[in-house]
Amino acid sequence: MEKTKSKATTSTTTMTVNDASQDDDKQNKNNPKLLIIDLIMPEGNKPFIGKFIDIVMLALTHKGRIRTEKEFHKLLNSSGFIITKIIHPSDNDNFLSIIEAIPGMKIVYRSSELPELQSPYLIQGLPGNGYVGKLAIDHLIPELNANHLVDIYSTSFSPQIVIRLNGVAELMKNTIFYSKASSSGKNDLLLLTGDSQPESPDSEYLLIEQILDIAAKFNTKKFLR
Amino acid sequence: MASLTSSYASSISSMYDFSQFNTVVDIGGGQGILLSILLKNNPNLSGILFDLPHAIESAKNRHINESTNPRSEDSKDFLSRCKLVEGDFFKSIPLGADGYIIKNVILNWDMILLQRF
Repeated sequence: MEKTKSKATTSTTTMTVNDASQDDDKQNKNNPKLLIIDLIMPEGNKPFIGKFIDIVMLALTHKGRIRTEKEFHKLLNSSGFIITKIIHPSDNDNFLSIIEAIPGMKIVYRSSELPELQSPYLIQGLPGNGYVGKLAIDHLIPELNANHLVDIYSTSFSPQIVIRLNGVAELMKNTIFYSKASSSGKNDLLLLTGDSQPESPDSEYLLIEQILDIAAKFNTKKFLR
Repeated sequence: MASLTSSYASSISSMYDFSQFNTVVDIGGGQGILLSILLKNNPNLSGILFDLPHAIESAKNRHINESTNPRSEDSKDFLSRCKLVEGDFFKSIPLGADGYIIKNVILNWDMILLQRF
């Protein structure tokens, strides 16, 4: 079954807008990379030159700061970049690290106020072999009256658009919904669905990294598929 | 920042394989110290130095002055392989390159501003 079949319950057609058949090597060579060369604030209460500079930034700039690795991830992900490599300085004269990032993914939360979830289980149903998981999740979402939590866009999804039933064209995306348990003490649910899966194993790893980060944010206890 | 950069530049150059790129843009590259070391160490690399007009002016002065000095082959080589471009990175940056460096710039700014970037 083809991965890019349109969402069964809400859309009618998919349309190819771009020919994906590009030479892989050439593509890699042309894929731009962003290199941030900067101090990275280490975790923990240790002496570090960046702490002094952090205070200078506090005094001289509007909310400038030395960022931790986590803060760099957050900053870059919120701007559609994925960190692919961090190289820490190896000699004592240099304190600057190199953060390599590529454009490619965008995480969009539907609301800036995130729900409090009770040890949720994440159920995955992406389009793949047989389409069964996706059909099940697409059934559960309206059945449980689940709320739209977050959309994940990625350049690794096939270059097609989905035309929803209301006529609006959208980019391929993965979406996580959440549903609160009917009684307290039970586990809430996170429901992962989507229009497509990434087109290469590399980008599957990058995507699942993002999904795991989101799952960790809500203290997810179990994954089901 | 220029004197700070010159002490770091060669170790940055050896930390990462910059030869994988065709063109590297240094966003907020100042006088182009880092870029000149990267171009020197990677003969097939071209560069674009991108900064506000006053910084580009200062970069021009530095490298043009140095290139009139017969001992400085580096500055001549730098000017032959590096374009100097004025602009504001909050508005637009040079397109079409495959490597974009932003060194000691992110720390000056707030997250909200950087998301627009």
